[in-house]
Amino acid sequence: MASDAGEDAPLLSRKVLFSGLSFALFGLTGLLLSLTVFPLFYLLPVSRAQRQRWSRAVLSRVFPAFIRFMKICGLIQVRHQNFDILQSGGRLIVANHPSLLDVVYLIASVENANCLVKPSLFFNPFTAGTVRAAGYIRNDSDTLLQRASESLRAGDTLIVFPEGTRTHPDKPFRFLRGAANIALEAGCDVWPVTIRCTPARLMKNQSWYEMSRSTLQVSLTAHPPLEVAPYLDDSLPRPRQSRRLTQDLEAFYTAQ
Amino acid sequence: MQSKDQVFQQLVKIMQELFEVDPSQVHLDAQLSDDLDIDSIDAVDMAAQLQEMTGSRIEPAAFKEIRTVQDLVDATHALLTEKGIELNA
Repeated sequence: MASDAGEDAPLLSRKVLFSGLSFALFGLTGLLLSLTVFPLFYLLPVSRAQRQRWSRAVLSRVFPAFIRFMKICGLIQVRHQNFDILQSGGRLIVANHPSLLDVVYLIASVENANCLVKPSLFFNPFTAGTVRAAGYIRNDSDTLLQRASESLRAGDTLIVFPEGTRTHPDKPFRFLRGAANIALEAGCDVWPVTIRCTPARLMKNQSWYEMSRSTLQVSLTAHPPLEVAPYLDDSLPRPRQSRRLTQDLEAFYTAQ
Repeated sequence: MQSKDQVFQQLVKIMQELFEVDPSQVHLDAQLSDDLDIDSIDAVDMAAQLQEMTGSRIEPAAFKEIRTVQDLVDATHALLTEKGIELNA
């Protein structure tokens, strides 16, 4: 046992180092963009929508670069399946949320991504500039449904993690109803993405430096949409429609 | 003038109709979000129903103060009394 640990130690400490470096790079890039590129967009006489599209265009270049960096460091392998079906705009994407980096993978994988995010990211100095410039929607916003529908109508891809937080590994899927309500309000189909991450790292109850010997295998699979039409049943009040749709989404993810 | 119990019965009916809440789960101490799974988006629909019932405009901010069924009964009862509205059971 002792010799095993001895062999693992240099590899693991190198991984922890690279991992720390990756997260530092991510935070600093966010900070740097917030102090340079994003403020520049504010100075130009363009509409807010245009500014947000530019900011998102920056992010859809920066996030893949960050993922490449983590790949080069041997920390992760990322595999996409079927993502061509998500490349036209105006799609409402939902995903399970096993790891810290899920939103980064997804934003890197589609164009012009909007996203429902937790309020704390609007106050974290490393992320505040980014989420504000890109016009991401706070998940506690009073006007969440209106803003989300407007965004989808404008042709943005909207990413929602219906669990509201990272998946708890030992508990059954439990979805909040925001995603379903957005779909019903906007009349948009729901495009499910399943994210798998093995071995399980960067999860809810783990720290960023708890690395494993093997490279993290991340696989992202896009599935055909769950159509919203059957749920838009006028004989039922909206809260019951959203409950039906949410139950079926939970069932879909549980069956995966 | 209706009793708080009448208001309670009316609210149970609304919650069953709107949110598929099991009436046996609704008691005065129940937390709307934790025990009855009524979220902030549901609260908007609930407020719209109460608005219809009481004829009073209900601010979303006022609704955020409401946490338990008891809070909801008290607030609704106060609105009905203020407006002098009788519930037709």
